[in-house]
Amino acid sequence: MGIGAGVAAFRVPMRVWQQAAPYLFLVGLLLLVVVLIPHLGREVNGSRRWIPLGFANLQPSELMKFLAVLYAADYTTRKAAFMYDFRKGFLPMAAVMLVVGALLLREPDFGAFVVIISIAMGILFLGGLNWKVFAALVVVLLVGFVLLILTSPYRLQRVLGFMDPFADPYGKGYQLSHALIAFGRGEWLGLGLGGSIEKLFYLPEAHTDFLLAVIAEEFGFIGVAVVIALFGWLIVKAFLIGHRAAQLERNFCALVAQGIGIWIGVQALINMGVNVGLLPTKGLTLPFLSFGGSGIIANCLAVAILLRIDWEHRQMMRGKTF
Amino acid sequence: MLYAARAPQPSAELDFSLLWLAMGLLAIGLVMVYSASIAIAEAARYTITMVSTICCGKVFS
Repeated sequence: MGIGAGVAAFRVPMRVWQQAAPYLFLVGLLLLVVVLIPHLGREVNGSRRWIPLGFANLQPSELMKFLAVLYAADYTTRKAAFMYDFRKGFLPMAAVMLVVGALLLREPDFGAFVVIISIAMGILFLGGLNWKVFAALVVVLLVGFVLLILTSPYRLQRVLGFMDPFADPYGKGYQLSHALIAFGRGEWLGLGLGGSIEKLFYLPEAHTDFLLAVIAEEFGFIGVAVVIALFGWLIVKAFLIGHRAAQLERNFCALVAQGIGIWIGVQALINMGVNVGLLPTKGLTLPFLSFGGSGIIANCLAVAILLRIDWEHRQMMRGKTF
Repeated sequence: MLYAARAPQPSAELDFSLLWLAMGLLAIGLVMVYSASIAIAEAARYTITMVSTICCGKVFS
């Protein structure tokens, strides 16, 4: 399904993506509302994040990451002249992101909220947002995140659990302590494919949030280094495509490509940080790798868009116009 | 357009390195998700088989 969605997305010109961006974002917002309606949204482990479609479950927050990239890039391109103006340039986007954030926190999906805010801020910054506004925003967001953690017992529990997982290895620190054991067992070269013990009911969510721990146990340091290198390469590619688009004065394409780079980079970084105990458990998957249909489809759409932007550049160099 | 005039024309239609990179990550993910979740799937299958066997045994005994 992901590859099919990617092929379909590749066939759509970037001009059409730009025109459709605000409407697609509205559809995404609507889905975020629908998922909160009882009997329509499906609740798993205390989070209402999925809409059952019969043949599969749709996770709107995953699609929203892709739609946020398109919307933020379109907004920044349209408002390029006001990027130094706090009221006209920044405030409308902040209001929209507050609505998205409020809906995501109602699910709750704090991880998706962090990723989407990072995408929006990153694109605004790359689009020329006044650095003083940007710096103030970073401070406000950091204070906001701390308050969100302090006011929610389950988030506070996760933060306290991650600081010393072995203090309560059967309670708050259960997931992280087993993830760290998996990393330790893997050593340099790992135990080989299928050799993981931690995935056998010790490590919860082994196929989603903690897939990197299983990779570490089965393929060791080398396996994890290869995965990190592949993600690094993908992010560099996204930024190179964005750089070329900027040189061709295709601002929307440039911001979309760089936004995709930020999205994949931030999400992979947070997931890896959670797996090795550098960040509190967030409930974020590893892009392209972890189980989750909506996430994989969104990732395939992102790569298809990158390929499309690059393809259009190649065609432009042959004299074609878009 | 200045950039287009200066830059050499790319030989390929598509950035195949990016395509293969994404396909590679998806392939690693497929193998690892299978590896990480097969035990859960097998356990669920055995549970269903066990429960149905017990039920059949109770009915036909």
